[in-house]
Amino acid sequence: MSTATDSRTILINPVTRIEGHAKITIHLDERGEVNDARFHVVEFRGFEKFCEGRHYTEMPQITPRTCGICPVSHLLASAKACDAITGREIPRPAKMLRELMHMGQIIQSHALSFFHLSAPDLLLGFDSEPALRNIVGLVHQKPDIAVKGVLLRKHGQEIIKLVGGRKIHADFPVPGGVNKTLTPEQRDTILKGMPAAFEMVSFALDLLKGYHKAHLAEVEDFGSFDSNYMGLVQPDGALELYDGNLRFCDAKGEILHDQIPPAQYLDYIAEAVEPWSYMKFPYLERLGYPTGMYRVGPLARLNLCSHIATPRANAELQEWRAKGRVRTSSFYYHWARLIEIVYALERAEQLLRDPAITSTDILVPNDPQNPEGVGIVEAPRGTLIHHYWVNKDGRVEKVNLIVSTGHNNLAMNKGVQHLAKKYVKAKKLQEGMLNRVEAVIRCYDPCLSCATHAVGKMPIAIELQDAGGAVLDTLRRDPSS
Amino acid sequence: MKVLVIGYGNDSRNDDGIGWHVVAELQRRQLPGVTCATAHQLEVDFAETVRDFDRVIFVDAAIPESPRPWWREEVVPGFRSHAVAHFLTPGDVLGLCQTLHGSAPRGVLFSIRGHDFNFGTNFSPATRQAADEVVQQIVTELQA
Repeated sequence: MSTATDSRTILINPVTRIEGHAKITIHLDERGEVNDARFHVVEFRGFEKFCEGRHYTEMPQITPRTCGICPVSHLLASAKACDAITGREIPRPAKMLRELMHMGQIIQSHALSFFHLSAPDLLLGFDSEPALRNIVGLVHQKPDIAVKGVLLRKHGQEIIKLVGGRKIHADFPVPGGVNKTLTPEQRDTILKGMPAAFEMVSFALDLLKGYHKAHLAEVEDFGSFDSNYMGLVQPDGALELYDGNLRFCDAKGEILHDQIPPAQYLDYIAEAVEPWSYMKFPYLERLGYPTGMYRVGPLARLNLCSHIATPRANAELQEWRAKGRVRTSSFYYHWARLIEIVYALERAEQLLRDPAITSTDILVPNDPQNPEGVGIVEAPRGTLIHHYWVNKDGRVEKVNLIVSTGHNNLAMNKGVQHLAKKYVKAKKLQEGMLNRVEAVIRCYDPCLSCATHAVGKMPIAIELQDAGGAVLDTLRRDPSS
Repeated sequence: MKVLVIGYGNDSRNDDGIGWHVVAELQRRQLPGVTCATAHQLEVDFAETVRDFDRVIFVDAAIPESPRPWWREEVVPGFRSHAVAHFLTPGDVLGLCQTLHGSAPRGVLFSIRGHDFNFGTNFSPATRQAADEVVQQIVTELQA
């Protein structure tokens, strides 16, 4: 702990090797009460510039390399933006194969988030020894759960590999379609793994529902706040992860805008810039900044969709909504993730059982017809937007990427702010705050892969400062502890 | 002996992708019994992958402040807590493998000092020079 002075800002520095630099500052007002929180991240601006001058057909190969965590999402959003530049509808089998690959991505990413990052908090306790509160600690204490997590993630990775040829940086989606068919043998291999995958996610759902029942008060209050929501939906309002149009809802679930074509996103989303962060601050233009704060990702998608088009996931959705149409607690992200795994498994099975999935009609010509193109997918963490402007030769002149963690930027600040109000007392950081700040950030599963590394230089720290900027109090944890 | 070489880093960030370069050079030499892999970062799946090998060689870029152009160290299986990260360290990979499967291969990490981590796909001369030395060192060890 540092020596107390007259400072009124709390600084949390959860920065990591390869996923970028980030820190959180919590600001106190003149009375010493928490009134703001800021999540600072090094973001994609440099990367957008890096893409300029490339031929647009290269973009699906370049943009996924920003990220080792959700490259498939970047790949698909990029390919869709390129499709829009070609102005041609891709063949249905190509669309199905892309969506199948995306379902693999949702399964593997959500499984990683739940079993490896969040389950140790839930099953070992927020205040258990940090050095043991991780996947290895989980293996030691709950080996069956950890192994299920590994296997469920592996199933998602296998789908990606079998459909796309590789687990990361697959070059399979290309402007105009895909460049590889799915063989009947590959289809059958994926289908064979489905029953076990359903069993594993059912197990996780039971586990999480049990936690909700046992810790109801904390669950409902954990990073809970009103916000707007954004995500893709199908034409009838059903949950959509690969295609569809945008829907915006308010804090009560009332629809603000519906069926907005991806190409029109800039008519509804504006981006603010703050001098203290490289990260963009997207907001709903109609409501202004920062009132137009919205959340994306699993919680947002389940809050705004009318229903889910697959039976098991829809039944889970109804249970999720049993206590109210809209869930405001950030904790519900975890449950929403598991429901989305159920959907992804069901949807993948639907796609695999469609005879067109092994069709060879997978590609159309991809010469540029339009000066710009927008591609949007629902990445595991939320809405991912790729927007390219090209010249007549197809060279990229400008790029705009809005990533899920960017959309959630304001919301993560709000979640930390909500938590800090409970854990900052008399200008002091209370015991347990660091654990819970980590946990509330994990609800959003932010991915900061745009930056490179500084191994050994990335501690986690909370600093309490006043308006003058001097340090009042500090909590700190190095990654090795 | 089955050997896995994993070069990892962001290959769109100049010197951060030097591990990929080392792997490409080793692949070109077609060394018997050696499997090569590249990755943006180490993830939990590698805990499964490495179990099939006797030895794993990790190759990564290191920060500009590193004291030497490159260095070699034995990897100690273990596991560290990461607040919001999705990556593992080489020690994490072997530690998780050991926890899940009861044993883990021997691991070695080669760290190569990077100088330029801006967006791009070019290596700085000093980093490339160090990488060439690392390739030679790995070849020598594998042929010993």
